[in-house]
Amino acid sequence: MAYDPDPSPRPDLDDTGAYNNSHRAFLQAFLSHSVLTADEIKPILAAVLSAHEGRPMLEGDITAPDISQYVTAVNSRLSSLDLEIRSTRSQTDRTLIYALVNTTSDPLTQLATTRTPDEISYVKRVLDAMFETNNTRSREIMAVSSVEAANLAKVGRNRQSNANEDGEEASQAKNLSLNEAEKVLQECVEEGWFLRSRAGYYSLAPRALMELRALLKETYNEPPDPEDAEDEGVTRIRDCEGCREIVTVGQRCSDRECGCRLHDHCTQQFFRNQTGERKCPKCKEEWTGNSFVGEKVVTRTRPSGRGSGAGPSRRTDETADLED
Amino acid sequence: MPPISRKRRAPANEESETTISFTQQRNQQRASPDDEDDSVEEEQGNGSGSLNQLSKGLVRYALACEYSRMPIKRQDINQKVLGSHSRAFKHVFAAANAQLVETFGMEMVELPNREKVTVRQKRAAAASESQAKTSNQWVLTNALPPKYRVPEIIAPPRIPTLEVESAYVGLYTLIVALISLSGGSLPENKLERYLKRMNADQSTPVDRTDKLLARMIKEGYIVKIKDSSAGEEIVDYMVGPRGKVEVGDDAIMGFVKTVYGDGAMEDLEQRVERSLGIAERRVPSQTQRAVNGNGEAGPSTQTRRPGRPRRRSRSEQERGEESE
Ligand SMILES: [Zn+2]
Ligand SMILES: [Zn+2]
Repeated sequence: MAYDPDPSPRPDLDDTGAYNNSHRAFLQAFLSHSVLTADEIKPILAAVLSAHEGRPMLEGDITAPDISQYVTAVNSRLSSLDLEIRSTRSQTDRTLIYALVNTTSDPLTQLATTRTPDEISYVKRVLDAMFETNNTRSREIMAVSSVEAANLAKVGRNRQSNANEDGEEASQAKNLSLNEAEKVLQECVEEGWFLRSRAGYYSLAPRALMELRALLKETYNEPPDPEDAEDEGVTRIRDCEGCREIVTVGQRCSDRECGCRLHDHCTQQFFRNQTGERKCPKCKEEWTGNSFVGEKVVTRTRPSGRGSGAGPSRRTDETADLED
Repeated sequence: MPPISRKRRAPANEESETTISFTQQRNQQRASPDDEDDSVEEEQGNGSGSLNQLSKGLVRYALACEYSRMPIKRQDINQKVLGSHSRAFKHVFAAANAQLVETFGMEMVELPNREKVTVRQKRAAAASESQAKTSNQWVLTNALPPKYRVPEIIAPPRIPTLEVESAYVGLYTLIVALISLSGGSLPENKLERYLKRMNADQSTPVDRTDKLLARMIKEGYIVKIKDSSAGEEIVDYMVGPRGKVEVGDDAIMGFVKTVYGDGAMEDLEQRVERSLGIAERRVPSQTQRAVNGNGEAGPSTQTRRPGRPRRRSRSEQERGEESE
């Protein structure tokens, strides 16, 4: 054959050791897919092993321990680069999701290199709206409607002064056009950072939660002032009492003062063994199941009858007070 | 994700990387512009200016660039990764590339220089002594054996959807193949005719045809050459730097085989090789294909596994010997 498809491998691609081409190919799959579910990984790992072993492997041959073994091997190489393959479960349907994430709290290199400073500043405004404006003690929406997101394309006056508190950033941030803002949002959705709900709300996708876990708490939770005994601090980001992952969609204790949060699925796990009335694991108040975290805060309390047809652009009394 | 830090956190990535404190002042003073190789020599530790840290920065930067199909530029490496250590470029680059190969099975490959094709460009090139021999731009390419480079493992990268992106890969492979098989240059009207035959002269699954071609030009898959030195303007398409690196001869061969199917005539490969000028490109040639400035067979012979001597396939070698 004139066409030689497989010249002898290069010496630095050691294929014999504990870390070989199958691991490299597995890692490459994570570079080309931003997020992978366990079910999506199985055919990929089957293809990797088929290529490596030289005999066909089927998706069904791949077990959960196989996946963990590969993830562990790859992570041992990635840790010195501050990268890691992490997994989490979807907050809504508990699907197991994997993604290659940065472990440093420095911003994602990829966003810093591919976005303009004005675009980054816009994403920051959207995050602030998610976790501050739309995340008050009485209303933990933790999502931003399409209309709000569009309004954030402009650098608001109060935003600017906020940014000036710490001097350096955002003070020179310029407005984005509506089109530009729309494009940034769309790309964030495609890259697995944001979710866009049917009602048009943007919230953080599992990949973002995995990567930003620590950063979100550090940014939006304010520890109590040690000098001031009265000061309790502000906790805007809370973990699930069941699975210990961040809750941005789920249920909360009916007592507003109580910090207990649970994912919908986690309530089932949690209350399975309880007989009689469900009680908050923290304060023992009745767990009603109708105090929400997430866009349901808005969509579930809306005048009924319109279903999902009533988009977020409809300015109801419910949304009016969110938009000062 | 973008930096969302607003409280006393370290400044964003770029700043923190460019303001790395120089740990060994004497290096800075001693090093002359010529001895760019030894400024990191003694720094093997993990300090902020160490080879390890700089190499890690470059690995992360290279991954980020590839994510958005931006070339990795030397200027940007100096600015965003090396900062005050730009003299250590060679060392850091070699270390980062070794790490990319060993961990990811990927390597940075230098893009060929833009070919000087029009009379005016050639004159300008001849006139300027300072013409750079290298492009100082790299892209991240897959260094794994071809058996791992299958769509089951590495999907075409994101944006906007997988289907559209796959279509895009197919279309640029097609157009690069058409240009290569036409001897390296394809007149605009001929390309239009090919596209018309495939019913792709107005629109494609990816985008409107004109926008699609504009994107391929922007990303360096193809180059549009306008030459009016002979009076009327002639527009030709040639293969661009990224097209040469990413769509190698073997990809074109595979593409032609797919098109012709199993029933292809036996000498198809040879005919394709002849069209691609594989044999003739081995000798310094006056033909347009080899106008890469350095008189050697251009980087197009190094497709797919560039950066090291290409292993000639047996028959190619034989044919080469015959013609010599
Ligand atoms: Zn939970
Ligand atoms: Zn409670």
